[in-house]
Amino acid sequence: MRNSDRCRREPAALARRARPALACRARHPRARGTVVASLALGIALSATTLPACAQSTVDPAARVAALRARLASVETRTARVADVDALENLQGSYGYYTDKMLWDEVLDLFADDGTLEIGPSGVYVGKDSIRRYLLSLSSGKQGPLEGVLYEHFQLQPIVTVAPDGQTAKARWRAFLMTGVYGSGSGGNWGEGTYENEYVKQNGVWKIKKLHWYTTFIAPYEGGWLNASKKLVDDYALGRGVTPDRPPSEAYDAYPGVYVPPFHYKNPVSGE
Amino acid sequence: MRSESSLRARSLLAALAAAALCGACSRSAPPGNADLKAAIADLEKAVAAAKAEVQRLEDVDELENLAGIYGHYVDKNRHDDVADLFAPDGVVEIYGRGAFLGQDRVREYMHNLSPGSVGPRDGSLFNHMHLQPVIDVQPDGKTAFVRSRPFILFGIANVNAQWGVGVYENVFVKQDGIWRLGYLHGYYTMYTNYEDGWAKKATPIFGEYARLPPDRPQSVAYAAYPSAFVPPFHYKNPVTGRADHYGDPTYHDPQKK
Repeated sequence: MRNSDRCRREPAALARRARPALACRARHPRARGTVVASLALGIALSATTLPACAQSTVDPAARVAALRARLASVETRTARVADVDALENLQGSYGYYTDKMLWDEVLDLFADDGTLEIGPSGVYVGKDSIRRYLLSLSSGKQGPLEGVLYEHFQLQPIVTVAPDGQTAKARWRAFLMTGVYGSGSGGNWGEGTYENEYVKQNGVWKIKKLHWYTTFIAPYEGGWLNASKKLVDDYALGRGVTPDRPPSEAYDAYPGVYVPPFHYKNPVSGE
Repeated sequence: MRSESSLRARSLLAALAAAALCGACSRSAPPGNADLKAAIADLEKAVAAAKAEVQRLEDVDELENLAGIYGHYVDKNRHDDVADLFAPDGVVEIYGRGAFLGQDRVREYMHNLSPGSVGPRDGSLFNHMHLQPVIDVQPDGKTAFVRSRPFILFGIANVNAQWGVGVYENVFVKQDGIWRLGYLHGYYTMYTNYEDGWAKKATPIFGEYARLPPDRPQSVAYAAYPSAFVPPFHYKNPVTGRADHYGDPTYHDPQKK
């Protein structure tokens, strides 16, 4: 209410010198409506956001410049929120494409110099290498295979966009259900953590670094009681292809323990 | 993250409201030169664009909530709450059950899930987790598409227990300023019994209810796992914009590819 009151009071306080402010209220009912709308949102505007009608003695050009600066700040903040949404869509799309082994679609999500590392796979650098790796997982075929379940849930995003909006990092969790029908056994559960990096090129977010840390791969029968390194290798290692670099970190999946490094500090303590 | 962005979007909207007011007032300031008028006109345009973008971001948050709310209601057999989420001409089409047209028929469909009973029942597990939303609000701000992933834990105590996974490709429409379900389309990927897992057996796709025939058969014919099928995507590749196969349910056919 403070600002619309101010609009109403200013003419009296400033007498005739402030006629524009009076005009503001009389001629622009929509502007007042906008203030009411913002109040309905429960936002009390501070004195630093006084409307121009209350500052009508200030040089108009200076006021315009000040508004432009304020708007630029709002635009930047808006863009960062939009970036978060775009990145969630990007990684979510990665999951849906991977489910169905739509490798061309997956590859398109990467920057040209993007890297991929899945558990102990080693690091594949650039689209050609990543393509070789992905196709090796499905006998060189694209698209879903009969009798193969390859669900890759993408969950629990923690997205951090750099202040300049050109790079971002995100921690995610993948939950896997994989297996081959009719094998009698071999259905697997899997779970692990991504620490990914993204880059914005020509206004479009792309995956710069996809790094999945295996927590466990376990057979359906017995569940994580029977988790094993062999299952991790079966899931993650390329078949007949060689990575460009060895694994970037040495660790054992469950029953081993490892904490994938966090890209963020504790958001409350800052430590 | 999106719930945080909702708060941020609202504070942005408030700041924009102040900026809009200031812009409006400036128009009634003592006449300045042409440059000033042009600068103000530019500012007004930029404020309008920013407001539209904030609106879109708020829509994304609301849609994420709505998609999640649907799942929470379904879990607990709150059939009328579910039906109320639909537009008057909303459609529900789940797995092979066929399509039910209009909110009244949606209500019938939902009640049919537990005939004569509303609300959670002892001994019944009906969990529908709704995960991984990919949300796209269309430029008109009146239509939105959401792909999401249901993870289903179904059970009747001491009788059976099942897993289910699939994909939702849902259409939302904004009517009277409120987002509603315009078309809920659930694609079935895999169902199986808990004791069997998915490497031994899988349950064929559910067919139409004999006791409640649909208004229309399912709109896309497909078989569940172990068959291979790609539920059509509402979106083009987010990086390249390529849309070779989107919306084409025969994409999985290698002959066609």
